[in-house]
Amino acid sequence: MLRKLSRFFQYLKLKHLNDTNNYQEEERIIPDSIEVFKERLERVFYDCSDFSLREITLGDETRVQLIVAFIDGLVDKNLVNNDVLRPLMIDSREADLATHFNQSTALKTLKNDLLTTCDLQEVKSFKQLVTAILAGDSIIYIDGERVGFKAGTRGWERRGIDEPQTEAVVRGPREGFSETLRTNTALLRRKIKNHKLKLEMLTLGEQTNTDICLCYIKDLVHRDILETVRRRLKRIKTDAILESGYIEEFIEDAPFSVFPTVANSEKPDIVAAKILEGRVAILCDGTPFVLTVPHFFIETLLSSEDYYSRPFFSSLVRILRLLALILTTVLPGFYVAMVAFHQDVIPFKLLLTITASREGIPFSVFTETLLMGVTYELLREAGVRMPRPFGQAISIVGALVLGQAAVEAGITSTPVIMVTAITAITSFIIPPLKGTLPIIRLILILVANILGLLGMALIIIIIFIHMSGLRSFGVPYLAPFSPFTGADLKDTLLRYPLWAMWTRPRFLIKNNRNIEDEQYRMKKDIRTKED
Amino acid sequence: MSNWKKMILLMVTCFFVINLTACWDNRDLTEMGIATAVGFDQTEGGDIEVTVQLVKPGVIKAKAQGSPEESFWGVSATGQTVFSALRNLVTTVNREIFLAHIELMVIGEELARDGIIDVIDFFEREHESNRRASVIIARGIKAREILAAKSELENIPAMHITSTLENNTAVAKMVNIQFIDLIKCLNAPGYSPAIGVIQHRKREDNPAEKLKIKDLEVEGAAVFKKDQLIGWLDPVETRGLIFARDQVQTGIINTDNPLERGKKVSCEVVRSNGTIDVELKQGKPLLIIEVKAEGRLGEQQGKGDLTTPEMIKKLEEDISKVIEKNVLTTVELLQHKYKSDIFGFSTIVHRKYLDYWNQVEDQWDQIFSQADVKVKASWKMRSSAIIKQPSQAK
Repeated sequence: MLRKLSRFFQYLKLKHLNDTNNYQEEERIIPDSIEVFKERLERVFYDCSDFSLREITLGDETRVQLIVAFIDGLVDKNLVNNDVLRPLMIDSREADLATHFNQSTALKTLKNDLLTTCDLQEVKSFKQLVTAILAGDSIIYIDGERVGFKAGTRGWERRGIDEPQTEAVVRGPREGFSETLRTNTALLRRKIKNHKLKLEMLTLGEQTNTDICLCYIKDLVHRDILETVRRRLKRIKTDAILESGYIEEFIEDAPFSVFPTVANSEKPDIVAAKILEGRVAILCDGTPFVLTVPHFFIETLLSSEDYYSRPFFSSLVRILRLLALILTTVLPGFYVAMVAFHQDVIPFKLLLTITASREGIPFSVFTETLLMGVTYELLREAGVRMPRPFGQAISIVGALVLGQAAVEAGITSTPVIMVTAITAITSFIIPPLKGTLPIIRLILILVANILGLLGMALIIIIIFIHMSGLRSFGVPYLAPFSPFTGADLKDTLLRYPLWAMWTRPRFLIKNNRNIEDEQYRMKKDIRTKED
Repeated sequence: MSNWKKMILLMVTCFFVINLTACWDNRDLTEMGIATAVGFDQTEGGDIEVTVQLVKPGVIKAKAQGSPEESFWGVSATGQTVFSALRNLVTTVNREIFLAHIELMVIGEELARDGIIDVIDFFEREHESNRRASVIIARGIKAREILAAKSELENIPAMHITSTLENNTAVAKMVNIQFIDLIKCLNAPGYSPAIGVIQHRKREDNPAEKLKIKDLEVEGAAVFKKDQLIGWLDPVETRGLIFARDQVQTGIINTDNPLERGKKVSCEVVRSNGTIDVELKQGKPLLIIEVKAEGRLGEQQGKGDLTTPEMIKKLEEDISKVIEKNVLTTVELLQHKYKSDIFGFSTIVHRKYLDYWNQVEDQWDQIFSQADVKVKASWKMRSSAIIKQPSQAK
C-alpha cells in the first residue's frame, strides 16, 4: 500500500519535473529538415549575440546543405577554421566527391573523410547538441539526417598555471590548479599516470550547468564513501554552482558545525596525495579550489611539505603547529581568565608586571582583550579586501592602532597587545581552520570573563564532545585519535619515515587487497538483492 | 535515554558546575591591593595589630625610570581578631587587599610569647592565602616596623627578607619555615616549631633614624613550646638543629688545622643527610641523631699538605666530631633548658611505639628532657677544590 502510494508520488514528481523541463519530449529529437532545424536552433539561441551559425552547401551535382553552429568566444577560431570549415568548403572541392557523394552517404563521408578534428562525436538528441554548443563545441548538422556532429573546438581565454597564493611552499611543486576543469584533470592525470584514476563527469546547477568531475582511484577508494559522495552530489538541486564552496555546503555532513568536514586545496600534488590515500576529489569548473573528502581534523595540521622534507624536521614542525593551534585558540581567553579570576596562580613577579601595565587603563581586561581582538580582525579583513595601492596606509595605521600608540594613549596595556599579536601570528599557521578558530576564540574570551578557567574547561570539553561526534562521509572526524587506531598514528603528529608508512589509512581503505574488495562487493550485491 | 532527558541532564550538570565553584567573582587587578607581607603584633590593650605591606606596581614600573617614590606601603590596623583587623584596613586602603601572594609573615615577639595559634587560624582558613609564605619572628622589634623598613636592593622589602631566608642554605645558620610546615608542626603530637628570627643588627639602636632592612639581620631560631615562644637559639645552635632536621644544603664548618696549631681549616658542606630516630630500651627512649655529610676543603690557613690519605682521614674525623658536638650541644640545650622537642622525636615515637606514646603523651616534654641521646656524624671529604697545597711565601 505504502509502496503504491510512494510510487504514485514519485510519478507525480517526475511528471512535474517533465512538465517544467525546458525541452518537450518531441524537442529532443533532431528534425530531419534543415529549415526546421535552423528555426529551432535560432529559437533556442534567440537574443544570444555570441551565437554563430553558418550554412554551407557541399557537393557538385547532389548538393547537400549543412549547418555549422558554435558560440563565439568559447571556441578556438583557428580550430573551427582549419578543422571544420576548411575541410568542408575548400578541401572538399579537391576531393572527388562527384562519384559517390549524395544525400545518403553524406554523413559517412563527412565523418570518415572530410572532418579533421580529433574529437568528433555523433549526437542523436537536440538537447545534447544545444549543451555541446554551450560547452564550446561546434556542431555540424546535415540536411535530412536525424543526427548531428559535435566537434571538439573548445578554446577560450584562460589563465595559465600559476603558483597558488594560498598554499605557498619552500620545497615542492609550484603549480596550482586553474579555472579550467580540463586543465585541472590533466594536472591530476600527470601526477597519477594510472588508468585506475577515474574521472566521472556530471553537471550541476540548473541555470549554470557547471561541469563537476569526481576523481578517485578505483581500487583504493572505499565503495561506501564513493557511493555517499555520488548520492549527495546527485541530490544537489540549485540554480548555480559558481565555486566549489557551493558544493561543499550542499554535501557536508554537519552544516551547523563550525568545523569544516570537507577539505579544499589549490595544489595538484596535495589533491593527488589525498586521492592516493583513498579519498575522493571533487573538481569544479571555474575554480582552482578542489574539494577532497572525507576530511579528518588532523589534516588541518599537515602540509604537503612535511612529506618532501626529512621526517625529523617535519615532526617538529607538526608539533609546533599543534602548539600554534592551542595558542591561537585559548591564549586570549586564558589571559582574561588569569587576570580576572586566578590572580593567585600568576607568579608574583609576573603579576606585578601585569598589574603595573594595567594601572590607569580605563577598561576591564575583558573589554581590552576583546577590543584588541576585534581591531586585529578588522585589520586582517581590511588587508584582504583593500585595493593594493592602499596597502601601505593600512599597515602604517594598523601598526599604530595595535601598537605603541594604543599603549601610550593609555587605552590598552602591553600584555594584551602581546597576547593579540601572538594570537594573530599563530592563527596564520593553520589556514584550514581560519573560519573556525576566531569563533571559538571569541566564545572562550566571553566565557573566561564569566567563569574563568572553569568556564574555558567547560567549553573546551563541549567542543571536544562535539568534535568526536562529527563524521565526514561516514568517517570519524577525529580519526585516528578517536576512535584510536595505533597503525594510523604514523602520519599524525609525528611523521614516520616514508618507508615506515607501509599501510594505507585504515579508516579510508578498509580492504587493502583487491580480492577482499571483490568479495565485499559480491556480498553487498547479494544483500541488496535480498532486500 | 531520549534527547530531552540528555539535554536536561546536561543543563543540570552545567547549573551545578557553575554554581558550586568557589571563585565566582571577577575582579580587576587594578581594584586589588596586592599584599606581599603581613605582620602581627600585640597592642597594649591586648588586641591584634595587623600590618600589611602593599605593593605599588605602578611605582615599581616608574622606578625603573628613576622615580624616588616608595614602591610599597606598610599599613596597619587593629582589631580583636586578625580578620576584623584586616577588615578595619579598609578604612584606610581603598582597594581590596589580596592575600594570595603573601611571601612573608612576621610575628612580633610579644604576640609569639602569648601563643601564635590564634593569629594563624585566619590564614589557614582563608582560601585565598599563600600557604608557602615564610614565617619569621621579630625579636625585640615590632613586626610593623620591619614591614615598613626599606630595602637597599629590592623594590619590595618582603622579597628581600624571603630571599635572605631562602639563602640560608648557604650558611646553615637560620631556620626557614613555611606556613604550611608550621601548621603541620603545630598539629603533630608533641612536636614544637622552631621559627627563624629577624632582629636588629646593631644592638644599640638609634630611634631617630628610620629603620631600614640593612639594620636587620636574619639569624638563629626561635624555640617554641607548643605555640608559645620560650627562647632563642644562637646561629651555631641553630646549625645543630638543622643538621638533625636534614635541612642543611650547604654551609661552612671550621676546624683546627691538624698540621699547624692555631690555624683553621674551613670545609664546605656539599651534601648532608640527617636522620633522627628513637629506640625504646627497657621502657626508656633513646634519641638517635645520625648525620652523614659530604663536602670539600674550602679554605686552609697555615701550611701543610692536607690531601694525603692520612690527613684526609684525620680531617674527616675532626669534622665529624665538630658536627657531633654541635648537634649534641643543641639537643642538650633543648632538653635541659627549654624542654621542648623541636626535632620531632615525638612524631617518631608516635609512629613507631604507639602504645608507649599513648602512655607518655601528657608528659612527653619531661621524658624528652630526660632521655638518653646518641649523636653520630660522619664526614666524607670529596675534594680539595682546584689546588692541593696552599701557596707558600718563599
